Parts: sequence; C-alpha cells; structure tokens
Amino acid sequence: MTRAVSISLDQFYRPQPGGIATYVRGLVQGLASLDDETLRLVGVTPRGSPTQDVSDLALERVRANASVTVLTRVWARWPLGVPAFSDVVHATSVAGPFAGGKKDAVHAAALHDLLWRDEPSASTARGIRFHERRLQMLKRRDDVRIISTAPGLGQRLIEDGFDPRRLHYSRLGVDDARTVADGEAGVRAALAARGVEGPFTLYVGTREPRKNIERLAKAHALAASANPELGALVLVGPPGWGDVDSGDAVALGLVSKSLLHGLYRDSSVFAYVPRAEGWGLPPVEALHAGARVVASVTTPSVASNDEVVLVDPLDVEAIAAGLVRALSHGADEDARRRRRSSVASLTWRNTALDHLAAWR
Amino acid sequence: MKVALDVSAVPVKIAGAGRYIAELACRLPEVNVTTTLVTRRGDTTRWRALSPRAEVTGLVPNGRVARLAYEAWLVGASATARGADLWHAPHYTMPRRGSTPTVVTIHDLTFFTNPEWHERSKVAFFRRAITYSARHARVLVSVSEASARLLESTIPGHAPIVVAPLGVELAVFQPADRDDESTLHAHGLRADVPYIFFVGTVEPRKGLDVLLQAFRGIASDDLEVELWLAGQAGWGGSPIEAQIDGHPYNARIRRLGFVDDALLPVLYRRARVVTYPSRGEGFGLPVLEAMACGASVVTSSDTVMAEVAGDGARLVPVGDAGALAASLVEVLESSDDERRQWSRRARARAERFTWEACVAQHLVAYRQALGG
Repeated sequence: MTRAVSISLDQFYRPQPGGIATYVRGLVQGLASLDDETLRLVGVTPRGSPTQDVSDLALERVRANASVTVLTRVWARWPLGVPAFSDVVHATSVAGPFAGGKKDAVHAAALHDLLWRDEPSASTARGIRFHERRLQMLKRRDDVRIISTAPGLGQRLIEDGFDPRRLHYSRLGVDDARTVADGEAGVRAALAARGVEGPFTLYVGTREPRKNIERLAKAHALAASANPELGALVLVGPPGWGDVDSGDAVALGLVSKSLLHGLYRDSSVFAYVPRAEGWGLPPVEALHAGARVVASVTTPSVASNDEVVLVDPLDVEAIAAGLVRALSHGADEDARRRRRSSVASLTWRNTALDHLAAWR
Repeated sequence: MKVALDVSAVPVKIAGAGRYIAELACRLPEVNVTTTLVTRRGDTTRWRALSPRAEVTGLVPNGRVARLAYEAWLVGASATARGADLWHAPHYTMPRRGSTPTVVTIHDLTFFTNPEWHERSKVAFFRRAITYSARHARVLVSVSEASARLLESTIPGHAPIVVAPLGVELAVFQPADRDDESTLHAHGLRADVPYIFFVGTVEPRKGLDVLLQAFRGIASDDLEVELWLAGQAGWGGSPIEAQIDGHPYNARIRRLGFVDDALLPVLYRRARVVTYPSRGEGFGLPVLEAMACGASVVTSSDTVMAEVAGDGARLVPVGDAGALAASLVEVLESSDDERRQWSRRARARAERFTWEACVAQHLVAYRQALGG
C-alpha cells in the first residue's frame, strides 16, 4: 500500500536558505535512495520562486497559494497546500505545517536547535517571540511527533516539558554522492583568482555575529605568523548580517558544491568556532573530506568526535593554539581515513531511515 | 416622467440596500424625474431633508406587517400611485392592486438559494413576494450581473431585467486623508493601532464566524493588530456574540456598532486591511466603498463581490478561514510599495461604479417599463 508523505519545502524560498535547507535536501535525497516504491513523496512549496535550485529534488510538488512569509504565519493552524491524501505531514522546521492530510495522518515536526534562546542577539525580538511561541505550541500539540536532529536537543526539550514519548531522534547526513570535488589544480586556480597562493585555513558558513568570525580571524593571525602552513584564512559562504570584522581573511562568497568539496579536501585546517550552534554541518562535511578540523565545544555535530580539536570559542588564544595543534594531526592517507570513518554513519540514507521510524 | 419611489423599507440608520434607495431618492429629481417619495408615516421630515426637490408623502403605516400589507393591497390604488406614470418598488415586494406600471428591484436570490441565511419567518414570505414581483413587474432591476443571472435561472417567466450596479460617492469615499486622526479621536478611537476592519450587519451570511477564526490565528503571532467590527445587529447574531465573548483575543476585538458617513471613510482609509468575507450578497457595497478609499480589501471569490472587486481586491474561497488568514497576513505584511499599487488598482476599479451610472440605468428601466 502506498504511503504519501508531504514534506514542507518552504526553506528553499527563504531569503537565505541555511542549514535547514541542507537537511531538507538531504532528507529527500535519503528517502529517494531507499527505492521504496510504497513511498509517495510530495513537497509542499509556497508561491513565488525558490532562492535555491530545487529542480533536482526527486519528489512531486504541490504549491500553496501563499508566500513563504504568509505560510510561516498561518501554517501553525491551517495546512495550506497540504494534499488531503497525505498519510504523513512532515514539517521540516517550526514553520509547519502541523495539520492536514488524511483524517488519521501522522504529523511530525523536525526541531533543529534552540538558537533563539542560546544566542538571542542573533535574532530579532520578533523572531525570538515567534520561535518561542511555536515551541510552546508544539509542546501542547500532543498529536505532533517531534524529531530532534541535534545531539543534546532532545534532552533540553524534555527539560522544557516535552513528553519524552513524543520525541524521536535523527542524525543528519553528510554524504553527497552527486557532487564530484574539483581537482587540486581547479582549487588552486580558484584561490589564485582571489590572490591566495599556497596553503590556506578554511571557514564555511554564513558571516554573521554568532559564527564568531572576528575571534577566528584574530586567532588565525596570531597562529599563522609562526605557522606558515596555516596560510591565509579563506571564508566561504553568504555575507549574512551584522557587523563582522574578518580582518585579513579572504571572502570567496558562495561557491559551487564541487569547489567547496575541493576546498575542504585541500585545506590545511578547517576552522569552525561559533559561539552557539544547532548542529554544525560544515565541520562534519570537512571530516567527510578528510580535513583536519578545529571546532568550538559548542558545535554539537562534532562535540564528541575524537578526531576534532575542540576549543573555547570565547578564547582567542585557545583557538590559535587549537589551529596549531590540528596541524600535528597529520595529513597522510591513514589520518584522513580515520577522520572520514569518524563520520561514516552520518548518511542521508540513515537520516531517512530515522524519519521513517518516527513516522511509523 | 413621474415616478413614485417607495422608500418605506429604509430604516433610520441607512446601510446596504437602504443606501441605494436613499441615493435614488436624492438623485432622480436631479435628472428631471418628477419624483414622489412614499415614506412611512412620521418619517417625512427626514426624506424632505434628504431630497429637497422630491415630493414626499407619508402614506405607509409603521410596523413591518402593516407596512407590507398596505403596500400589497392598498397603496397601488392610492391617489399617489394613480397620479404617477410609474411605481418603483426598490426592495423585492410590489403592490398587488392598481394599474400603475411597476419596476421592482430584486437585490439577490438568497431567499431561494440559501434560506438558512435568513430568519425563517421571512423566507416563505419573500419567496412568494419575489416570485410575484418577478412575474408581475413591467421591468426588474438587478444590482449585479451575477444576481441577474441567478434571477433568470431561478424564476421562469420573469419580466425583463435591467442591470444597474450600485455606485459609490467618490468624493466622500476617497483615499486622501481628511484630518482622519482628529475624526478617530473624536470617536474615542486611537489612530496608531493597526486594525483589520469589517463593516456589515451582524448576521450569519456575513462570514464573521470565519473572520473570527482567522483572527485567532493572526493575533497569536501579531501582538498588535486589532479587529474592528462596525455594523448594526441583525438576526441570528447570538452565536457570533458568543464567539466574540469566548475569543482568546477578545480584548483586541472592538465593536463599533453603526457608524455614520463621517466616520466610515476614515475607518476604511486607516485600516491595514478591510475584509468582507460574506458568503453571498446582492452587491456587497462595503467592498466598493473600501476600494474607493484605496483600502486593501480581502473578500470572497465566487460571489458578486468578485464581480465588483475585479482586480482591485484579493479574493479567498467562502468559508475558508485558513485562506482568509493567509490573505489578511499577506496584506498586513505587505510593503508600502505593494500597498500603494493595490490602492491605486482598487481606486481605479471603484471609479467605474458611480451613482450617476446607476441612476442612468434606472432611467433605461423606467423607459422600458413605459414602453419607450
């Protein structure tokens, strides 16, 4: 018997699709990889044009007759666009929808973080209010299954009053079978075009205050003077918001996935030290590419990974020391294999299986 | 041309169909129709003031039953009727005695299509009365194309129909601020509160139940917006009253009651969004008035309001609280540029509907009734 699963695709219509969009893309990719003919996948989209290409997502589409802003407001109560034939309605974030589908449909919502509490300065007052109200609403909505995608988040939700029986857990994937990394020459050429020659330290993510780029840049400057193997600090990702002083770092902006994977592979060290983080996909991607990684202890995705050098994100000297220590971790094939295997279980296929179990 | 216009159905507080009848009463003398207004007894002073160039005769008794009986059996044989070339009955019913050619306005067919929207005691009476009028009038006036089509399909053997869309006084209902803040303050209203505005009689067909559901969803995320409801109490309002009383955002719902013409355009203009989620109307005058004021309007699709609104308002399916909430949020969140664009479109659309055009269509109906 076919089971219709409706998945909200609103993240791809937001001005800056971030980590949640990566999760949605990976989830769909993982579900499709199961080759389960009894699964009918339907993506629910807002009106308007996506801000990230979604043409490759292997699922049917239905369009709600409202913009992403409007859906975010009304999906809490009204499942606009959700097909009535849905057996499962999966909200990929607190935006919803949390209703609709068949009379006995399963409703699930993925929660990724409590960033508005951990780092309130990174959100507007309205954004904080919105997220908090949605969280409280979901706490009351016993009929909605909660899928926690970040280590430690489930425990925090229970402490906040969520019924543990409603909680399900999923790992996020890191594999991307479709992308072939650019070769070494291509990576060198892309960096040379921006004036970067030789080794480099890489950061990937939005440039916004929470990501702590100012301290990273200072720490890098401190460490690189005595350790030329660190090379220049290269920033990849959208400009973001807030007043971020990134020192002498070279910002490449958004790059192709193939170049990104090449950059991970060829970096001397990958550095990611946000003050707070919901999950933290980039350091996992870097490990998947075999790179040496320095991350803040506040990055859940790698906080218990022995292959990662963990540092206090508020301590510039500790970050600098971490960068130097990471260099000693070796770049030979054995060391690279160890790092890759440390994240081998993080596949989107496993993410999909975790979700299927939660929806059952 | 001598026309006797029966204005006896118009209540003291003029709204909706009453507005239409009052506009005719004022404007027919302006286009050289010798007009006699047939009023309720004791109501002549008001009509003389409203329409100084018309004759006014207070023939009709007060009280609904007496008024309708008088109209049916006595007024047709009165000297007033005999002295007129034409009798215009502007609210469904017409005299059953007398030989003066008669034009009847049929506003809508909801007594047939949706009897649940009306008091049960009225349904049988008006169905009979409308059927009689449709077959015995010389000419019927319909206030919209949609109502005309429905009339054609509902009552076989009906008289010829002339469509006369209602109008709006563009000089009164207009977008420019006319010391609006002072007017609001004078009525005890704050000028800095964002509000969703509804005006209409409180009765089941208006869709207030759906609006209140939608407002519940909107108010939970928007901590400032209020819902302002204007209009007189109609019938069947108690479930609505109960819904308002038990509403979680009751403190942000403001009941304004009947509002006069000095305040109404201000309320349209200052609203973040005007909504008229009615399930069905003959015309839906508030939609037109709000658009004339350049307001952002959300109303019901597949109703006559869609015909009136054209591209000047957003349309949502009848009874769909989610779609209504989505559309209201869309307006509340819209940029100033978007608001200006909608405002211009709304005003341009409204400018097509004038009382002058409405009266001109009545002259067509009158001439047709007189065999011209």
